[in-house]
Amino acid sequence: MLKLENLRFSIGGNEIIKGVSGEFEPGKLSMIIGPNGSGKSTLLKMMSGTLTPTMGTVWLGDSVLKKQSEKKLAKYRAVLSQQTDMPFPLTVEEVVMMGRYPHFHYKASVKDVEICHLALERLQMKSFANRNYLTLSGGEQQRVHFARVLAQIWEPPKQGLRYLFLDEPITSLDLGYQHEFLKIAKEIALENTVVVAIIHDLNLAMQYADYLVAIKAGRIVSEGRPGVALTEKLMLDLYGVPARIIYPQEVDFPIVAI
Amino acid sequence: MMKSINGRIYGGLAFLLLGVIIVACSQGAIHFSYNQLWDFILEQSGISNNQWPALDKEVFFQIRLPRVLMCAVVGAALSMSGTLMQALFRNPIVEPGLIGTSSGAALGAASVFVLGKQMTWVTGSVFEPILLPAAAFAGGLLATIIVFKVSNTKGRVIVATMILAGVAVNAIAASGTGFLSYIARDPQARSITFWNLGTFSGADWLGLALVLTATIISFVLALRYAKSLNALLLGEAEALHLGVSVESLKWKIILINTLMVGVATALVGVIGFVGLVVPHLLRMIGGSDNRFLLIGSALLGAVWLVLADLLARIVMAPAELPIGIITALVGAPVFLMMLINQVRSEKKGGFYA
Repeated sequence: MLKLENLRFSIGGNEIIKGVSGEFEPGKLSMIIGPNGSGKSTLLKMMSGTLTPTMGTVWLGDSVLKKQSEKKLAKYRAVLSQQTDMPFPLTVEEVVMMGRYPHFHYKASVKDVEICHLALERLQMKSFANRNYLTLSGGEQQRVHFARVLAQIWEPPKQGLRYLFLDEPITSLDLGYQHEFLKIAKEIALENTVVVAIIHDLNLAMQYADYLVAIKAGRIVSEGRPGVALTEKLMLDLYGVPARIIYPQEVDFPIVAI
Repeated sequence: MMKSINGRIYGGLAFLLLGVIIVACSQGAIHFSYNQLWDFILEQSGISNNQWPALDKEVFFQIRLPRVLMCAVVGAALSMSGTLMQALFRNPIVEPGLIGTSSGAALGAASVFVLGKQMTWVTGSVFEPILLPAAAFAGGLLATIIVFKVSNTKGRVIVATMILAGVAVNAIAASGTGFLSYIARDPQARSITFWNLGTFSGADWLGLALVLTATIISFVLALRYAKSLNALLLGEAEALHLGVSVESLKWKIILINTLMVGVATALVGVIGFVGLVVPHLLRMIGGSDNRFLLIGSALLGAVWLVLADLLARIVMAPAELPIGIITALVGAPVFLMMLINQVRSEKKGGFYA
């Protein structure tokens, strides 16, 4: 379990996160929503260990995140960012193999290569293995990085859980791949992994989130199952737009209409 | 890219290196036939005696051979330095001459040449032999750190700032070196050409041993960090997520790089654009994995500098061109072309796309 204890984060005298506590369980796809500048990314960065909170503690299971070495952490915690710019030509397979770097010393083992192929297969990118990464479209590049991140935490550690953080992972993807990504994220969560994603599309949140956290101005303003946590009043409060929640008969999740 | 292909590239380059070394040993102000070279080797390894004049042997073993080998080692060092700095700056147009490492090292070395004699406390002490490389190291390190710090903001290197910072640091170092060479008595230190364009004419076994040691140490260390440098290609945040301690990696790479370049520059002067051309060629044939680039740079860099020095010796024989003229003649247009490409591709987001 991922546990946040009264996290605060300040930069240049501005407090961006103003005391956030909460728990994120394995087996559930957790999502963070909130308006621009609400502190979502900062919060996610503190959970993943990229930023150190000014105050408060992040617990990964029963160990304190801050005390883990980067090297050790990288074996069971992976982060997918919104976009990655890379200035040099590498093949898709080489990029995915970087996900295995925390697991080998100088030369990749047969198992590492196999895991790369499996990860690419999971993203339906196997035929891209020898392509030059730089010649791919933005969406294809993002899928390569998802494969890389999956390869990084492909196997469960000897003890403890795996943690996957997705920072607006689907922004550059088309409709089909948005759903594909979130389905995979959900499957990964079911493999005893803590998965936390920042997402902007409330309909996707309604459809895929098992647990939703809404952030405004550095504080949690609502949390719980999306059907319960996300209300018309909350959306007005968060985004300043009057939105309706509709319950269509064809699907078993509500839909947000603005 | 693929490992078996890399193996073949290394093999080919090693073969090529051997070839150019043999040719470079044979050609020059005094010509040695290949038979003669062979006899020299046999005699030196105690297998047979031969009738060649003692002067020929002297020239070959004391002048020609150390010079050719020095070219190979310095070429390897400068090219690996290019690879390391390109990975660190995350930009393919970086090289030690551009970001001040070489000129800073030259300033350090020139200070020892010119002022070292006044430092009587060093003369005869254990510090004397390492004073020159140490000063070159310090100068190169300072210059590199200044350029890196100025051009790197929030984990991103701004190309224009980097080039301008390099110009400024190079100018400062060059003016210092210029002043020192002006007040110098030593004829080599007096030669401003030596500092700006480099030469291998003073190569001897002692210098070779020094450069070789620094280069081998740097090579072994650099290979250890090659994988982390690959991760750095994705950006500092991503590298961190992959378990790389980015801050400490940067320092290690700058130190390793300055060790190689500093020692080489102290002995042969500033030779530009080698570290730019060689990794660029390798990237086009075998991709950007730094493990491949480092080994490839060591081999192809050696080939290129042995060839460049051979040209420098024979183009205007018996006079000798400064080697930097040749490396710049080839390297500067490549640099310009890469710069144009980079400006154009800034919007597309990919240089080699």
